[in-house]
Amino acid sequence: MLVLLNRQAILSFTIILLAIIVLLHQALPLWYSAILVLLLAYRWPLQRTTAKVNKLKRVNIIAAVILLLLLISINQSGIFHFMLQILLLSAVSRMVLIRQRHDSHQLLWVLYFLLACCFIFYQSILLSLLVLALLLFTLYQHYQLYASKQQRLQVLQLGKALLLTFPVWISLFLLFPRLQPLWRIPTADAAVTGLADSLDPGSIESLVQSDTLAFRAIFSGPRPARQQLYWRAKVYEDFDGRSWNVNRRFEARQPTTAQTNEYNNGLRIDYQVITEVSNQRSLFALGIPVQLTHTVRPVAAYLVEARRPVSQRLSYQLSSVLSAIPEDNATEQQLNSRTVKANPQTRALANELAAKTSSTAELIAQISALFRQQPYFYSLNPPRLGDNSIDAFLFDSRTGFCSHYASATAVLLREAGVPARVVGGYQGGVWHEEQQYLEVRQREAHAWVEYFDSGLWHRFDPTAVIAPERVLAGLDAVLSADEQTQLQANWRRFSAVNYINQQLLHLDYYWSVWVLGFDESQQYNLWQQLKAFSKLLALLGLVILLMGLGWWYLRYQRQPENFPAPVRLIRRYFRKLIQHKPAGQNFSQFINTVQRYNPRHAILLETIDSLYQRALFASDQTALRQLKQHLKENRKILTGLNWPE
Amino acid sequence: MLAQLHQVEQSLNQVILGKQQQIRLALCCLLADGHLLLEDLPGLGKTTLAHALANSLGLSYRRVQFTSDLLPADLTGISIYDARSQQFHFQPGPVFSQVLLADEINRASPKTQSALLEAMEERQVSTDGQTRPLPSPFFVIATQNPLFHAGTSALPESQLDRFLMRLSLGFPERAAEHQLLVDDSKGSRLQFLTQQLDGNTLQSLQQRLGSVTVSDAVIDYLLSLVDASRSRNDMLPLSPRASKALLRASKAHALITGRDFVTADDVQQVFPSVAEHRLDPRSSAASHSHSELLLEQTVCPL
Repeated sequence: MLVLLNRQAILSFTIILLAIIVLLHQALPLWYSAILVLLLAYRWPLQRTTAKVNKLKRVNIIAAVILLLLLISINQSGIFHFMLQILLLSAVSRMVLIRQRHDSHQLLWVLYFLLACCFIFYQSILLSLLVLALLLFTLYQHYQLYASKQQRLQVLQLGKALLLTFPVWISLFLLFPRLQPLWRIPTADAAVTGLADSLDPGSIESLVQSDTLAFRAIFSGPRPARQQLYWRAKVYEDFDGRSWNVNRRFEARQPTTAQTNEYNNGLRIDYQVITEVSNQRSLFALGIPVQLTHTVRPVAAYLVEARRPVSQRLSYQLSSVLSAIPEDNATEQQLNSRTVKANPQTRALANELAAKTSSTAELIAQISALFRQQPYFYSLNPPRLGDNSIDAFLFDSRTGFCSHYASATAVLLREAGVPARVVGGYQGGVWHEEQQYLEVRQREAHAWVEYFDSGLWHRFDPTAVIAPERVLAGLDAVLSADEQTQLQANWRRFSAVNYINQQLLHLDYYWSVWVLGFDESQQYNLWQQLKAFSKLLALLGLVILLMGLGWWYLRYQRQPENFPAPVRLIRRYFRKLIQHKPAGQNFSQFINTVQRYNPRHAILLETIDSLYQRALFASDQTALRQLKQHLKENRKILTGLNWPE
Repeated sequence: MLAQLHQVEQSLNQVILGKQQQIRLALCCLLADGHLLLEDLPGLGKTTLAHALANSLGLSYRRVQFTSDLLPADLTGISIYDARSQQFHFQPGPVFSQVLLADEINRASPKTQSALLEAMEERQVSTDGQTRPLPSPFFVIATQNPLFHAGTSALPESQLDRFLMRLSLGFPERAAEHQLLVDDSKGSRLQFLTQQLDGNTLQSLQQRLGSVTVSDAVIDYLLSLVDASRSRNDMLPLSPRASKALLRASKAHALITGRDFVTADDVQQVFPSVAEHRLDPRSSAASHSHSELLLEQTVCPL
């Protein structure tokens, strides 16, 4: 049957396609999105005029040209994005040509696939809801397109139908096996966020200005005090006189696997970390990680790392012992004793301090005293420093942020002959009592020093000396009012907006814990818990089964399906048209209507009608046989009968 | 016999132009041995139809114009003292005829109306402690003005129920009215009535009603219509008497259409005129809203 698409369907398809183009913008170059939108706009006026369908040839040429352009730019976009681009191209080209309902079939399935592709880029709850809404809209259009006029769903019915499928969704989510992906999606280079591999004076200040989330932590068991929350992410061991870098061969170093039983003296902490997308491998851990899930792996200097750059939210479980870090590799001492020629004044000061003291602990005390007694200031906006940055900071400006103090301390220690390194990570976080999780933002970024003494790397945080409130209460406590204003975006100052924002973040947290974090092990746990209640569940299942049977029985009683034989025959052979029959109409009238629409078969239909009436109302067996024969012989004609839309 | 009936139908159509459906239903009603109520505005031809029907059935008929001072005795008849024989002689009223034309029935007082009621249902009249049977067949063809007209007293539900059908002719179509005006000079339209049944033919036709086949499926459908009226509270429920009337009228309709079995269509055709005045006695005959609602909403599986 040839059915033309109505304007509503075309408009809906256009809306869905536009939404997909916007959602997938990460995979599409700007010029390409523009071309797609233009193509869609090109389609639109056609509906209003009586102009004939676009010539297939023309569209094919346009599509071929676009494809060529895409092929040229494949190096920039990468193979995965290229595939999405091709899929979108095919969908939009189809859209340009579409006229009949028959044509929209493939388009609809491609739309479903494209909507699913959106989840590659987004997993947050709001966008998931948006994609879900789009999916429902597409389903609705799909249904409207193929349903007969009588069966078109009203919104209320649609809601009911969705509610009916809701348990199926839930159970599919809970029970469907979490398969390992069959292939990996090649991702193009994405912007790296968080701490960089290089620490300049000034890099942490700019990081702290960002209000975005770095990760969340949930503690099972004791929660360490705030001043213990030093989240180690990176170890900087190479100093070039101005900035600190991660050692070039850091990756190649074999980590020693920590044994749980070795560290009985420290406080043991069990926690789960949910990191945001950083496109880096480095992760966050407290103290010595002794036990980790298989999604992460230990690396040198007792850090942890993801198996590949974190391009989606990642959750991992850790156990840590809060104590000084043991020596991991024999080369560590030597690596962290290297000094550079720059900063002569600092070297002199280090030598002076080393001469005064006999032990490393004393040296640390001396450095603390230096920072405490001399007029040193903690500021978010330190003055810019020259090439001999440490000298300039220690003797000239005396104003700096955590990275300045950490780097100066590490240089002082190295010059005094104590191996030392700068550690980058996060300190503290905001604890949400009601939701029971710790929220760590980029503004909690921090740098501190680890020095080597008697086989262990001890932590020394010079910031805690200059500005103890930074460690005890957080960054806001240390900063001046002006600096606080600088940190807060304008809208954050309105408490209502702030509140809503915080609630959305909590929602996002539950979403990531309960939905995104629902993996194999959680599924297994659920089954284990269900097993415990197996008897109860069996009972519940039995009750549900009985209710279902009862419902089915009642339904069966209410609508007896055992029609007389002639009615069954008519219903079978007219099944395509029977849905157009109004409830109160009898078949003779209905066949009359069909006759009106199909004047060519009037005689046949009349014969069928009179045979049907004789067979049903006069119980005439010969008529029944003839009716059956007539219907069977003219099956083709009957299925081809027209019904105006 | 059926051919004769069809000829009668045709000549009735010559008298009342453009109202084939109503004429067929009116014949159905008489064939089903039921009383007929015609309700219309004055001047739409209900008296003409009543006359034509009574005439064409070939039965003896009397016409009574109902007025507010009409007494029951005026209908049933009175006993008159005969001085010669020194006895009371019963002088039968107009009700003692095969067809009683009760014109403007709702102008009469309720007392007179209920005297007619007994005659209609029991086909007998009791006067002076004596019960006298009415002739057979006995039909009442009544006409009435719509209720909002001055000087009318409504027939009670129980009395409406006695009428098998209530019909309304309504305004004629333009073409029909044109024809009517063209023929006006030629005299009364009743002269077109050439065909008549005789009493025997009518009776044998009524007997044939018994041999019309009704399948279980049709009865089920009929009952589901009746049931539907009972489960609603915006209309009166249909009584078993109503369902009996419905079946009889359906049979008559099948017979008139030339079939010896009842179809779902027969039921649907007669349903509005049989059921509407029972579903809502206050409604006017022209509106079939309740019965049509039932027909629309009750699933017809046949």
